[in-house]
Amino acid sequence: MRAWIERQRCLIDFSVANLGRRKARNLGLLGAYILLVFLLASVVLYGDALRREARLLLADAPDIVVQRLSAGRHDLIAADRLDALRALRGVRRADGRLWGYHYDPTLAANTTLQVPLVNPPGPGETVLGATLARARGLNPGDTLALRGDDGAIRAFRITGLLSSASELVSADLMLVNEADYRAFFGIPAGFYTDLALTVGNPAEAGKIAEKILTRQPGSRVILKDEMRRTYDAVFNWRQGLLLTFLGTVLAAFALLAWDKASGLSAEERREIGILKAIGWETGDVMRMKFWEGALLSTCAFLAGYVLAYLHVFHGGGALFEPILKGWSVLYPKFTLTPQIDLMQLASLFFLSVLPYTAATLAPVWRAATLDPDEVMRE
Amino acid sequence: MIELSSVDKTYNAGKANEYRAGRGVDLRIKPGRVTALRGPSGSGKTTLLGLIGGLTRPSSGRVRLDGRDISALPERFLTELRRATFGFVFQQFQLIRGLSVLENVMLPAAPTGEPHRQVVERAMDLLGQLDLADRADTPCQRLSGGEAQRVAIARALINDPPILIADEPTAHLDSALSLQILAILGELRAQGRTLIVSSHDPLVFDAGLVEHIVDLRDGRVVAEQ
Amino acid sequence: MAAALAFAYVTVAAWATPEIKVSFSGRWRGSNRVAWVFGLGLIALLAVLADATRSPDRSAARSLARELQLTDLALFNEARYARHLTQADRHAAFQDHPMALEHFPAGALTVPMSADARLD
Ligand SMILES: Nc1ncnc2c1ncn2[C@@H]1O[C@H](COP(=O)(O)OP(=O)(O)O)[C@@H](O)[C@H]1O
Ligand SMILES: [Mg+2]
Repeated sequence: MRAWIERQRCLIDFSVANLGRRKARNLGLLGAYILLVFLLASVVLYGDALRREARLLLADAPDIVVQRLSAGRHDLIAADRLDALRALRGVRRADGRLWGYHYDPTLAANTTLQVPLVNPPGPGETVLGATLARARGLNPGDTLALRGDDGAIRAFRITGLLSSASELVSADLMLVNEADYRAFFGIPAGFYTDLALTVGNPAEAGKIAEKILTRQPGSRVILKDEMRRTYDAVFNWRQGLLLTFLGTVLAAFALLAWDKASGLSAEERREIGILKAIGWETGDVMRMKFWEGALLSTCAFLAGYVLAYLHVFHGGGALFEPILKGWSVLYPKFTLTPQIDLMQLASLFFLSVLPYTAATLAPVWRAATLDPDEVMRE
Repeated sequence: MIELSSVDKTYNAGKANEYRAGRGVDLRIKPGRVTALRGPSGSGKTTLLGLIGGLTRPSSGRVRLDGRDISALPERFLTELRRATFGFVFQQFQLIRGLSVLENVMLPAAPTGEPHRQVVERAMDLLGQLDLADRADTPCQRLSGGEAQRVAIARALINDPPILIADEPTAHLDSALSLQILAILGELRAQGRTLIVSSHDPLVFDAGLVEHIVDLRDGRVVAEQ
Repeated sequence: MAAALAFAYVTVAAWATPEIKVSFSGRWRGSNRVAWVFGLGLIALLAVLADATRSPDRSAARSLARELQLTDLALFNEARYARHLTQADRHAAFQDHPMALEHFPAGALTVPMSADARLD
């Protein structure tokens, strides 16, 4: 055992010496490799973190949302449907929700106006999402004037801001009370944007939804599970897009390594010959080359992953923000909850270390099985 | 004792450029003596050394080391044998560029699993004997010819082999350096090692070191004394 | 945590690699250097793993979401139909046709909901 360890250590000694011989090239390679792992790991960590964030924050979303469709489009729903829904077995609670979009020409962005069920603002008052307030440069006490549905300008006094810890869900929110909301949008009493239901047993939500569909045809029913899956799908898709791209880059990288190695230079072949002539087995040569590849790629993995972690969870995923942000004017500030999935860590490790190591090793195999007497020739 | 019996070596057998570098060689090399293969360039000296040292296998015939047929050994055992029994000094030095003198000398010991400290000590010891102690950290491409040859000798000796094979050890050196190398070989002989060298340098044969001369021509042994 | 690990590592490594004190010809063995670099890398990884166990306070955002019965993240608000992805019309991200070119990057980053995720 001691001898085995000492032997591996000696081989590693020479691998390191070997790597040191082409310092500039190997450092360049390491840098490119670190960058690649960094991007790959960033995408995976960021996508997963966003997905988890969505699940966490929306864990208490309404179990069922019922909308009315009119000619295939979302329409206002009559309040009297609430009673019918409340009467359904298993439905614990049903509320009418009032929310809608207002295009703010100053910002050239949509804001979401919503009426809170509890603690609504007073008449002519509003509570703003932190992102929106920041974008408009507004503070509590200021007044916000908006042109309503009837063309009249209405002024809202800002009585408070939503906590900036909640920006990820509240960036563009503008909370007003019911009367102001109806007046502003011209929505008559007795109608809601949609209805939100809470059920006693979430496992029965599907059954209840089916019942709603048969009793109130023309409704559209959205289950909480669907909401969750929507966000899973959204982030999967985005992640998949980037991963496909990065996977291609990784494959190209391994290919490059293969190409580089399969054109073993005369010098390298000569060196392998020398090693074999002075008593190295084919296996020893392979082990040394293995260590070379493994050291380089493991190093790249460790550095790339740690950097990616810092980037995503301490740097706010700065590189991805422009992608997600797109044209958004009201982009929330948020930090993601750090979490590492060990399975994912392992698969990233293998994905980044194995192909490269294998690609560098395979061509050496051919050279290392050659007769060592080549070195005797001049 | 090394015995070669009717050894043939054919390069590129069956191809247009087929070349018979060894033809029916019969040879006995006694331990503890200095044997020299002599012949002009292309006469098959290097080929024969390769066959003796187990670097390559004969196309036909047998090579025996202490009665054991090594021409049929599987690669693994042959490598082990090479490591433990033979030290090689190649005609071209064949040091690895970019590695230091010390690293080059230690190379053959790497697969043995011997404690590192021990190997370093022995290597430094050898370098000291060969007057190279202060060059240990020098990258070997910066060495002069004489130094490189001595490093090659140190490398050949790191595993303390009983047999040293040196292919034209004075070929690239001037007379003074050649004599220096011959003196070193003389010391190794005095340590009781078996030396097998090849050369067409008269200096080697005039030095009175060689006890057994094998004359080669076109892959054949033409005379022995 | 990471600092303690690093300290423990340096102590153990210094003890296990006597060559550092008696380095031959002024240099460390390659394998020792590897052990050091990788040891530090592992510590960084462990520090990261330890850091990942902390859970920042999300209660404010969660209770707001519950109170307001929110259903969506306010991430994509460049377009009306992307703001409430879960509430939007089917194929809303594509407006008319799944292959239609999108005006907004967010639309290019989202997919229509798969058929089995929808009830209607
Ligand atoms: N691997 C090889 N393939 C083909 N021909 C070879 C090979 N090695 C040596 N030869 C040929 O065999 C002959 C003997 O070579 P060598 O043993 O190197 O002679 P010497 O060492 O006496 O100069 C030379 O003509 C050489 O060209
Ligand atoms: Mg020759």
